[in-house]
Amino acid sequence: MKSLLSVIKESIWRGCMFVMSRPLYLVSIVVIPLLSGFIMLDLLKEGIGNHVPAAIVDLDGSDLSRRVTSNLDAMQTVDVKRSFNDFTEARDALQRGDIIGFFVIPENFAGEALAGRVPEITYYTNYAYFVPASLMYKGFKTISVLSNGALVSTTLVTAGLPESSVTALLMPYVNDMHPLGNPWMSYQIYMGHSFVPGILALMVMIITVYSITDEIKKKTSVEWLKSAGGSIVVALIGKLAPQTLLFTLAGWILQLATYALYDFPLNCNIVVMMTAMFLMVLACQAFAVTVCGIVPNLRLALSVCSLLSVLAFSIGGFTIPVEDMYRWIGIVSYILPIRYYFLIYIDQSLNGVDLYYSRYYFIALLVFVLVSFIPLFNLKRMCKKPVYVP
Amino acid sequence: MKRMNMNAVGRWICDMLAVCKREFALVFRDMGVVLFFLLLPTVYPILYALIYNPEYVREVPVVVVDDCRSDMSREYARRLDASQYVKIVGYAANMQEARKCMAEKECYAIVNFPEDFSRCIGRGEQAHVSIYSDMSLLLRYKGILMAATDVQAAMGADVRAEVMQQAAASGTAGIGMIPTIDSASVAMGNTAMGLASALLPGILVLILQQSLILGVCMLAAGSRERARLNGGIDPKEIRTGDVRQMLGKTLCYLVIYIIPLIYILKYVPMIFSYPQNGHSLDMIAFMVPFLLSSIFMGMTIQVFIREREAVFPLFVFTSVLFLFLSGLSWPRFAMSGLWYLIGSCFPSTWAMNGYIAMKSNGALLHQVSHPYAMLWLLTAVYFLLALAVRKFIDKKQEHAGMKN
Repeated sequence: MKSLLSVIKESIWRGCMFVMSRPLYLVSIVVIPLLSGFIMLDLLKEGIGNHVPAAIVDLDGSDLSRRVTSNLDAMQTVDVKRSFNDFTEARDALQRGDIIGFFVIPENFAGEALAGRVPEITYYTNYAYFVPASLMYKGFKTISVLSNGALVSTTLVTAGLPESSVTALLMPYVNDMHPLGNPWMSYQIYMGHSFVPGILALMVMIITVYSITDEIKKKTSVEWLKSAGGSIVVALIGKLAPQTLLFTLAGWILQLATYALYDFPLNCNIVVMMTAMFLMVLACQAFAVTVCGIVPNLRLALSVCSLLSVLAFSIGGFTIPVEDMYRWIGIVSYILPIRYYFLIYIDQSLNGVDLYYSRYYFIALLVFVLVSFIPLFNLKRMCKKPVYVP
Repeated sequence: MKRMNMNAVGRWICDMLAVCKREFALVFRDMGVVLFFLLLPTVYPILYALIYNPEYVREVPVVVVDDCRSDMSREYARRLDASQYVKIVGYAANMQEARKCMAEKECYAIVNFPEDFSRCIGRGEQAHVSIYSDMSLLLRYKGILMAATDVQAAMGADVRAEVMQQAAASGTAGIGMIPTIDSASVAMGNTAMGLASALLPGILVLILQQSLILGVCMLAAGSRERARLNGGIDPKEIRTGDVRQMLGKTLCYLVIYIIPLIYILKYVPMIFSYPQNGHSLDMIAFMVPFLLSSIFMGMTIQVFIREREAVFPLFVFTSVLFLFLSGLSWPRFAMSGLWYLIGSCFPSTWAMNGYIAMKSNGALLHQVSHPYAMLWLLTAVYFLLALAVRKFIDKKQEHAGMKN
């Protein structure tokens, strides 16, 4: 009778051999998460959306309208690329995708303004492109408010009002916005911390499912179980522990890149985030084991995990808050491990609140591990009598 | 002589049609492929629509710390609460208490009125409101910002009107007529200004491409698995020229995709009321090179897929990357040259942008001539690549298989 320790050792050795057996595994475990993480971070490198292509339609051509135009041109968010003679030309450019929006200064604009007839500047933004449109809207809005302000204040100051009270009159209330944790409002920081670990989580699930159910498909599961002394738990530990190590290492490298290379906000001890990464890898593996336990069939289990992991990017609440989704859809986000990692990141790294407030998220990640033990009996049954349904 | 030529052409076409017919049989006898070709394009659009359907955030919970406790600060808070984007869930005694609420996730922003808030207005100075917003989701921040900006403008206009009235009553010179400029914003393309109407049209196109590529890869992997069991020759394959094989299969996929195409591009936007502009004929003309280039891209990629199951990781991992490269989320003009170039290599990038231009912005085919031309270019490139892959790599593997 071999001791438990030597069985585990042997089982882990077998797991290592499995990972090394085909280059595809190493590529999926290490290269794909790292590469796609790098792609995404580098793609969003600019972070703060500047120079959104815009156009201007100046139907007035007066001194005042040219001042508005040059103010718009001076803005960082907007890049006035073209100027058109009429609305139709500008709309054509927008439809072609050359510009995201344009600014129309009506005919006789200066004359009407000075005569007190309140002319209207109209700005058109293409909301089919949500992020640049929002940025451009902000730029356009600022310019129209400022233009109005400049005009009004000139008149009032000439009329004899002190300049200080003119400002207060133009804008009696001021909202001082404090975007906590991401004062630059960088899109990279916003997307990077959900999508980069998201791809890792996705690969963890798929590789875990694959490495378990492939044994059943190839009917090697009997021998796999035997080498683990007949214990499915030991068999799983042996198979998955080497992968846990590699995935966690990949996750830590990604964290290192986000914090050291791209200066993501880190308002907690790095050990907290590293622990969270390790637990997330573990929870994703556990989730995949649970799926395998319920549907011990390669293709079905893979389909379930693929479907969920692709939807995780939308349903995990990285863009739309879970509380704003339909309730019965929002519930799904709570069965995804990546959701808890995301919440820990928000609490700890972005906002730097006490660890106490994130306690449930850590517990939730551990619960995934516990839950995975429940359907093991079914997995074991299938491993003993492997049936491959193509 | 002429007759011989005619015969050759006829035989060529017959071969191609035979391949096409055989491919139909292979597709419909393979549950996995049927799932990819038909069920995935049916179900995914609905799932995505249900997730994104709320369009924008409503009633983001906010806590108020009112150090001023005046009529004015209460009015400001009341108007914030009345906005559709924000909901005031409570008042906190001080910032510490409010921060605790935020840490507990009971609120996502803190609005703080300083002690001299109303005094400033009375003195004719600017009154500041401090708003601390959680930045975990940009959509929430946007909602808070919009609500605050609206209230700021409306309350400001009230103050202004009052001051003007007083000034007019006291007869201050020259204030009677102040030149003002108004402004109006018009949202084009996505008049609801919602997230779903912005993202979904692009995602729909991506779903088409992904399901097509994966189905193609799965079929090829199936053929390869059969060949492996049969000494390197797939018994179900019709042995004929490479071009005939490719075109025959392509014809089969094109015919199958008529239904998903119409469902996804016409009926899904109708059901979920996404933008529905553009002409159907333009759309169909635009989609032909898109489907062709996707099919040939699938035929190129299939060389890397040895087993049917390997398409799953490929599917999930590339979907996310293609989405980012398309510029739907982060705009293409803000990408570096390298990523712009890489994004240009995939049909989805051009098809998504072209489709959005037509469906959302009502562009006609001639206005999307650039993406249209690029799609035809990709069709040609991927056709040649797929042919090369068949001629050189597949044949080599076949020989290797025969030897084994």
